[in-house]
Amino acid sequence: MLTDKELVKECQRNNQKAQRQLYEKYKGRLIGLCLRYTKDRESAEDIFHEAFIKIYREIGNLRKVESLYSWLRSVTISTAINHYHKNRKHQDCLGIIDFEESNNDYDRIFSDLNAKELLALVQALPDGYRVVFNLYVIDGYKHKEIAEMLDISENTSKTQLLMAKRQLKKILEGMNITRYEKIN
Amino acid sequence: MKKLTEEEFNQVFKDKLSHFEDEAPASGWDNLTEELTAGESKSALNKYVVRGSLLLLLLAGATYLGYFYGFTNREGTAADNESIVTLDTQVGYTHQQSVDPEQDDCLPNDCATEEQVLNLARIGQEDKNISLAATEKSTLDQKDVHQTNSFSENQNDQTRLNVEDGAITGNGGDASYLKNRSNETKEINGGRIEKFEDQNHKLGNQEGVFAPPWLAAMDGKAPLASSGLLAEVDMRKVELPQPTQPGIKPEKEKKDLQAQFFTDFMAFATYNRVKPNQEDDIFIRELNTNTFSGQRLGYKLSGGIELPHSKRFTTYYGLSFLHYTQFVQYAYYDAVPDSFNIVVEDNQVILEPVLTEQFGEVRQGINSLGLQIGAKYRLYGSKLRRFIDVNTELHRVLNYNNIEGNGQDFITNNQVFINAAYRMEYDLNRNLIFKLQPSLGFSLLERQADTSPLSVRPFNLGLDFGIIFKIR
Repeated sequence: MLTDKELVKECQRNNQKAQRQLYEKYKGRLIGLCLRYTKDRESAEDIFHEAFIKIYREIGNLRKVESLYSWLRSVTISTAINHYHKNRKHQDCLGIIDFEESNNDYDRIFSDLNAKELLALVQALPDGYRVVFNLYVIDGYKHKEIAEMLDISENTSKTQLLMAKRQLKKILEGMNITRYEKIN
Repeated sequence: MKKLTEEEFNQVFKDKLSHFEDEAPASGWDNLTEELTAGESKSALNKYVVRGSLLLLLLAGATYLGYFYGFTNREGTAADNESIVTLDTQVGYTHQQSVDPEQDDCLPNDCATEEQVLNLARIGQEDKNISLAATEKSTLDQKDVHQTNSFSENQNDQTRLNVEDGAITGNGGDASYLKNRSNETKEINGGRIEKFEDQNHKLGNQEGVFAPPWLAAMDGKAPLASSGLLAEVDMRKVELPQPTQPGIKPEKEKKDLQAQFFTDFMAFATYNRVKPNQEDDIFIRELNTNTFSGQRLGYKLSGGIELPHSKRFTTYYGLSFLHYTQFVQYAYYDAVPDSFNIVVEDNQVILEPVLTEQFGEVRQGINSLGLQIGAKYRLYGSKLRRFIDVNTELHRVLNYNNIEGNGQDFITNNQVFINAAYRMEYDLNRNLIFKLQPSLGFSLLERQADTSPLSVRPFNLGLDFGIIFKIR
């Protein structure tokens, strides 16, 4: 098993085995990332595919390989944002969120939700809200950086985040999770 | 139990989703290898296409330059020969004119300067004859006229009159015009007043045209409508700032900043502002430059390298080849050979040339090669990116051909342009970018020789549009 450094070196030499190994090693995390930025699996797979194409084409320019995943993640996020820009005209409407209400989990609290449930919450957000929410809350970008990436103002980024959280809370209420509590 | 804070709310999502993994598409790898293989051959094909295009472009340019170079060489000797300026008004000639000495103050034989002559004139010397001899050959309107009117100045800007045997020989001209001249010799031949020594011009050997030599270089360039193919090596990237959260090291921005090569084709039209030189005494009555004539259309080919210094700021350096035609019509006053009015004012003898109105026009094609240095600053936009683009070009005229008229006097060898543009780039697909660029340009140097009666400054307002082709 090659280390990240060796993987990059071999990929830069167009070694197909190394490319395959890189793919196998990171495919799970990157598809997870893509799923967060899209509303459905089909779009996520498109981004995933496009991101890997970009990764293999640009890996030759990668010099510092200490944090390979960090680089892979940034390429994938940039691909997701490109995808968002391309499709924003068609998708950027703030429609009514359909989310199946849960009748049985009234007693559940927010912090008990698992990753897939949280992913479903995020995917239910409108595109603009979802992208800002992902970038800020999960991927750790600042509003200034998000504004630059999405070509919006900082205030818009902040507003989008606020609205995203409101939407999430609304969805949670729809799931009968009305209190976001944890045990001390 | 307590209510979660906003930070805790965020943390729940972050903890559970930041490392979220799922199953990749089953045929993911197969699809990737398929596209990567196809992409390689496509990429290679693209490179061949672009390289072929560039080669063709260079060949076309070389052929074009060769053609004009040859054309110019055929006409190149015209610099020292006759003029082909159209003169609509025939000029009459008087080869010798005598002035009755009794009507003027007399001048001695040994006077060397005008000041001395005039001083002596004031004290009433006699038996002196002011005459104008025509002994040399010059041309006017392609007619040989034997005459010489030598006219010179000394370094003190005073008119020197050659006096022999009591006669002032071959002098004349516009005394007031000569007032500000220094360190240069001027002569008048065939009634034409030569005001400065140009690169290929023998003083006093021009064609009886008073104004045209100083209509020099009424050219310029203005991107008015540009289209064509731009090629850039390397792909454009969406640049992401790195997250600042712990555990993720931000990548250095410079990793994505790679040099790019570009070629550009642009068609343009020019508006030239031509006005009399206020610093000079001139006889130009009227200029008609037909500014928006189709004859002024031209094109520019450029290529070079772009060096991004940050996500927003890029400088570029290159060469640009410029071809344009220019058409200038003008009306001016010409001096009638050997015809002078002698005016005595304040005990000073002043010889004033007799002037007639003339018309002329020049059409010519010009090729020039220049250095281009510029910078573009990205304002905003990801899909439709907007830039402020500023560049300067230093051009040197390679050659020209005179389609009509005495074009050689309309050329200046060096030209400096400043261009500013609001540039928009829009991704058509992965390889093609559409570029739209309203631009404003002007000549940094007011093209005006010290002795020129005209001041010329090109102003360019245009629209540049084109295609950028990225090599992957």
